[in-house]
Amino acid sequence: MKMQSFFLACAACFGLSITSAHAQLRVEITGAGANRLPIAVADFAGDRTITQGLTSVIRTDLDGSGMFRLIDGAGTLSDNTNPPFADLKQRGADVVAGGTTMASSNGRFETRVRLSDVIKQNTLDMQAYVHTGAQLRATAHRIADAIYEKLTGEPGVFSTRIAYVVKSTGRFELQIADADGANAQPALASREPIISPAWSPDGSKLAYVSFEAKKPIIYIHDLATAKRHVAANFKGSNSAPAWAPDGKRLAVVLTKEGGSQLFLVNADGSGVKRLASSSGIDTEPRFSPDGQFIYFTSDRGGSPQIYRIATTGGTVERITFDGSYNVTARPSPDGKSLAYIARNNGRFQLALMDLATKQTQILTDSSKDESPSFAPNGRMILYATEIGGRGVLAAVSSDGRVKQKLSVQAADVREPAWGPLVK
Amino acid sequence: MRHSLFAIVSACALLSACSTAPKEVAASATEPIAATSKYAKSSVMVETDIQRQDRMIKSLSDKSIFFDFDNYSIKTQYESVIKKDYEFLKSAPKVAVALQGNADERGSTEYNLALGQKRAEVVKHELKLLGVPEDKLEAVSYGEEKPRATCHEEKCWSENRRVDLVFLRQP
Repeated sequence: MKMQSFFLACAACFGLSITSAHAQLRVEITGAGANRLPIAVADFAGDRTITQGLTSVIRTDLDGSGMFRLIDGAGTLSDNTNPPFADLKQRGADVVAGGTTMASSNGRFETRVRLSDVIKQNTLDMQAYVHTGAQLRATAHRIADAIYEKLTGEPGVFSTRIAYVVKSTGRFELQIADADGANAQPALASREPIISPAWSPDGSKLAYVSFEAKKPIIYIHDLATAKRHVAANFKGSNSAPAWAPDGKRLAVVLTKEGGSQLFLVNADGSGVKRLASSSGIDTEPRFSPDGQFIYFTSDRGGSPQIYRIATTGGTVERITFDGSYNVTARPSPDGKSLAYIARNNGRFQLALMDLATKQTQILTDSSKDESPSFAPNGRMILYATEIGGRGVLAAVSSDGRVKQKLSVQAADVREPAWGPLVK
Repeated sequence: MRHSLFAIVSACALLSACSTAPKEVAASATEPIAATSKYAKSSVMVETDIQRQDRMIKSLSDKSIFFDFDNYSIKTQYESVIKKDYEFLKSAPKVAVALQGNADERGSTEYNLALGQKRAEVVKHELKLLGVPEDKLEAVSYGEEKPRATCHEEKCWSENRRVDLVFLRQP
């Protein structure tokens, strides 16, 4: 394709590439949820080389969510045998998952999973998954998602993906990995900075800011085709892309008329329209999940604080009042709370505000937190912080109880963005 | 090379194959000037003028304007620096300038980008007031992305809260 080869030529001269060593994110989990459901994930019946990988990932997923307490010693349990309820009850399990993996046609496998209530001694759920040997992790995440949803009533996020930027000497890489940090793949590499990745609501595209042309320009990158287009490249700086919930428009920050100011733009780059005006800085827009409001950071009151404005424009309402530095507002998926970064005694920390009561809780004890991003079920918040002078990603449950750390050897990881639920 | 990469990127941007978005690019339509410029050979200007310009550019490019934390007002000691930049730009009608604002690493990436932008814009405003035409000035920001000093304390942070002037030859 002509367009394709043109793009490749451009990519080459931008000094971009799509190959790299895949820096693996390492995950550490500390803390525990308040009311964790005791669950036994038995060894599945079938080929051990397949089932061991499956159950190991399912257990790690459920454990890391902070919603479950794993009960060991359930042994092997197939999907079509009755679980040893008395024994499981004695071990303290309320729920047990068993399963069987069988060879299917064309070298594929079928894994059947049964979830049972140990107390009531009945079946809660039965599911079957057809997969290849290469889809083991993805299948395990789907099984863990189904278990999570059945038992909590909320969707699991184990099959979702995260985007983030890895910064090493003279090199910036926008990477996409599974939510547990596995399967990291570069989407873009550059000698110049890349910041502010933002997932389109359907998860097919990333908007981001790249400095490859020696100034910040907003691109939209289609992940399946690796093709991209410019969403905003005006005189001055172009930054802070935020998708509208319908995926048709973005809120962006442009300086073409002087000052960092909020604009709305269609995803194809057309129809640029001013949203708000101030004589100072307006930046970091983010749509509320219902699309009615845009939360943003502004220094219009003398210090950076969080405000909101209706998507149709109009009056600006101030949201944060405590302290002299509150930035990077991120509404929760249910729209009821707001994650942001607050400076307290010189420390930049992740805070969560209940929008109805305006009550605020500091969720971390670190001091250089940035870029919070909600999991699509609202249970965890991913953010960037610094440990030992290095940028790492961390996640904390929205009640502050469970903490995860994701780090890459010998590189800074920053600018995380948690992708949407997989449909 | 930093400058030659920029020139190639500019060419790419002009090809427009990389984008379908509206074009309103000022800096990309110009060529940057290295101190020992290879563009001098193809220039219609007299060589001695080029050499003089190159010398001035090298000297002026080294003089950044520094700011206080979370602040974008120009300190009085930098008024004379900006005056010298203006005098050079007045003497070199085919030279434009990109004002690149920077911030230290503390706090939000995007807020720091906006802070760097504001710093670049106040310098741009000063140059405009002195009489430099708007179309020769572009204020852009690198935010906290291009620290000149990389330690995590004030002696480095103060180096990074600055505006750099990058001179560009217009066609």
